[in-house]
Amino acid sequence: MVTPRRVVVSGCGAISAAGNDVEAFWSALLAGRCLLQPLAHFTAPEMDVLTGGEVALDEEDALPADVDTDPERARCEQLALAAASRALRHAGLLGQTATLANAGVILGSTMGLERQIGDLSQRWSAEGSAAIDGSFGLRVDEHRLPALIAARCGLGGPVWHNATACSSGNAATAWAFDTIVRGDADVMLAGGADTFTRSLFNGFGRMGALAKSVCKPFDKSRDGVSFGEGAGILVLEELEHARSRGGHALAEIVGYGISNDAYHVTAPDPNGTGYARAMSQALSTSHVEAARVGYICAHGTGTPYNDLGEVRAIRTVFGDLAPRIPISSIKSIIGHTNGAASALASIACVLSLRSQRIPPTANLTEPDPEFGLDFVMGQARAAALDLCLNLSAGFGGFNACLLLGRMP
Amino acid sequence: MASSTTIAVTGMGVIAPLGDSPVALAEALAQARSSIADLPEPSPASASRLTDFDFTRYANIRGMRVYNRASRLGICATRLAMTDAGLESIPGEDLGLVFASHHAHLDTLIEYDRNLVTLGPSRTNPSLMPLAIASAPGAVTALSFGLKAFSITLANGDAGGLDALGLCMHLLEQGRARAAMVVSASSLCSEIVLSAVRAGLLAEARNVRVFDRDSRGAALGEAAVALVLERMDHACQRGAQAKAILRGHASRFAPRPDLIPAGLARAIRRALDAANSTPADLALVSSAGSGVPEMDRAEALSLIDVLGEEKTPVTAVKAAVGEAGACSGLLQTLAAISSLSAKTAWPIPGLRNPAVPGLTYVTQATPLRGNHALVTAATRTGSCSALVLSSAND
Repeated sequence: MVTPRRVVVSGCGAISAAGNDVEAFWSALLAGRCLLQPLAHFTAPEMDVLTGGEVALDEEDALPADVDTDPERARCEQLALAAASRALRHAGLLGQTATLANAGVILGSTMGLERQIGDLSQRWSAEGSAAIDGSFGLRVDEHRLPALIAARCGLGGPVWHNATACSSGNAATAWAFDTIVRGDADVMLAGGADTFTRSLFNGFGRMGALAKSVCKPFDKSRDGVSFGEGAGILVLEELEHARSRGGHALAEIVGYGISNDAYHVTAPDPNGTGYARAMSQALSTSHVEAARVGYICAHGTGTPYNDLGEVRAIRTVFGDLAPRIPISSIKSIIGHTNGAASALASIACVLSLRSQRIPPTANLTEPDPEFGLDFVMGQARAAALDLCLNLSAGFGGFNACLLLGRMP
Repeated sequence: MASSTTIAVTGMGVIAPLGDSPVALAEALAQARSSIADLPEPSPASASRLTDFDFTRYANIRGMRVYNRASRLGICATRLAMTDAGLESIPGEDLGLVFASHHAHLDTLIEYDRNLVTLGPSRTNPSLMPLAIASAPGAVTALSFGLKAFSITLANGDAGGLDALGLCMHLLEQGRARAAMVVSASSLCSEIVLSAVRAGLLAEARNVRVFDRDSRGAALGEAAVALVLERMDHACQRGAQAKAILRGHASRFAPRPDLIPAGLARAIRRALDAANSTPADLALVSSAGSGVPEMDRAEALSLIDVLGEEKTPVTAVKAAVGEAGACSGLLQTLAAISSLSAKTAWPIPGLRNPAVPGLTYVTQATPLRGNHALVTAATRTGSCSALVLSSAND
């Protein structure tokens, strides 16, 4: 009988308002301090000063001229490249050309490449069709995002762009997990990247979905989402491959569940029916008892409907266990980073499993009395963690839940 | 030999200028017809356009009037494929969708952002914003038919169609749905046409000559294809007839254009391994040849490398219907299925003098021997993909 291939996380790259390395990221999450501030480097037409989680990149992350000459329009690409190089360095794989030649990358994003469109819209008024150049088609090609990483890091395996809105990071990780399980690669990079765009703030603003001040996931007074920019990339690796090269198995990807609400273009199913199916599938396909889940890293955007549907789904799946499982959301610390959000949340789960601590939900002071769940708030909590469930849901209704396990 | 997890194609829907059914498209391809014509502007450019597409002829679902052309095309092709497969008895919770997109949302995004910049925020239509993201065409397709097992969008450029088939195969093998649609739709976006002209990728219709030494570039194509995939055991249970079997898929990356021949060869070999097949098993190659000289040359070199002495017929549907982005892989797959069914390789219109000799290019309808076909894709961003399929009676 063939032993199933196990997949571990052997490196992480986290770029967010909390800093550009894993240690800074984890330190900020454990502190539970809200890093959402007035944006210094991004504005949108006729909107007040915007609030969000802004990234300050390091000198080493300067955008190579052969990627783009304009760092403003290529911000998403810059964030993705920064996270990828850090993830490979963390895994001890940077420059390991033989290994990387067979490795691949699956990346997700939601609106980040819209910055390239924005550049066009501004020039269109003055230049008309002359604003279009021969490279425009390539620059707005979503596949270019993972392809840039692959080209710069020397990857020769599958290179995909997953677009499932705010569940993109988890979905990308799920497909990368499958790629390794079926033996199509031993090493895969997976995650997501996104940045601020005009349409993002304008669209959510017009829909009344932006938080008036900062987001307060699961709070009684929650009133909307706060955005962040960032990138999260995990190095996934077949367990024996990681061991044989002396790599670190930081945590295990145990399995995943997926579903689609098919309810509304933007609104989640308020009963969380589809979301619950994804959670249940993650448990059943991984042959895991619900009681082993010690932490739920929630999508927790802070919008009234998202949080309601998510809580209902958790209660449906976990039943009597639900009130005893610690839950938190990292979005009130670094903002909702859209396509990167669930990848950064996966890194939070990896670090939770490593340190046996759960980060608190910033800005949550009075949980919605309807919810009745164990929200971690105020300060980080020590816990005996065996498994973490990382939840994500996106525009269009696609849900993706990732199950991560502790490595001894 | 089909195992319980063998993945079958049980339904097909197509909307293309050469026909809106697999049979009509196959008839046109057999006659070496092409729908490629010059565009009045910009120049030089040509395209295969759907000049009389009326979505209400195929589907009239709530919300469609707001959706962009690619989304409407995708929904209509999905309706055709679902009807062909007879999926009415399967609940939405057991049906999934993988949408392969290459710029399918882009016209909506450009319009939204341009209005925001030029007219101001208050003049934008907030209902367009959720339709301006890459996952929107797939999401509204899944919403239109209540597909609840999954709704995934892959944006892998022109290789996306084949990769969507590969991803969907694996999800069905794991039992994450009973059946799923793989859908792609391509419409002409004026900014992309202009950029392609300025990049020197397009040519007048007379100079679009796939694999020919006189080719100057490609034509763009409008089309939509939906294929219903299903585990063979599930298809048998409900009495559905398989039209083809998907045997193996792989994708690899070439970090530089000069490495595409090697990258595509690696993808093909991996797909053959996954299908437990060898080059000798292949009756047909349904290639990605588009008329862009350097890309056609790269693919030809790759096929020579893999096929060696085999005289496998090589055909190229893009010579008839243009480069339809992510939809191309599905059009190539559809053409391969109809070829295997008719035991005939469809000719490549306009090919007279191959730029790279050493392959058996199909220049007239040719009888096929064997049941397996290879479908290939390669993109300018370096993605290389391959799919091996067989006829249903293999």
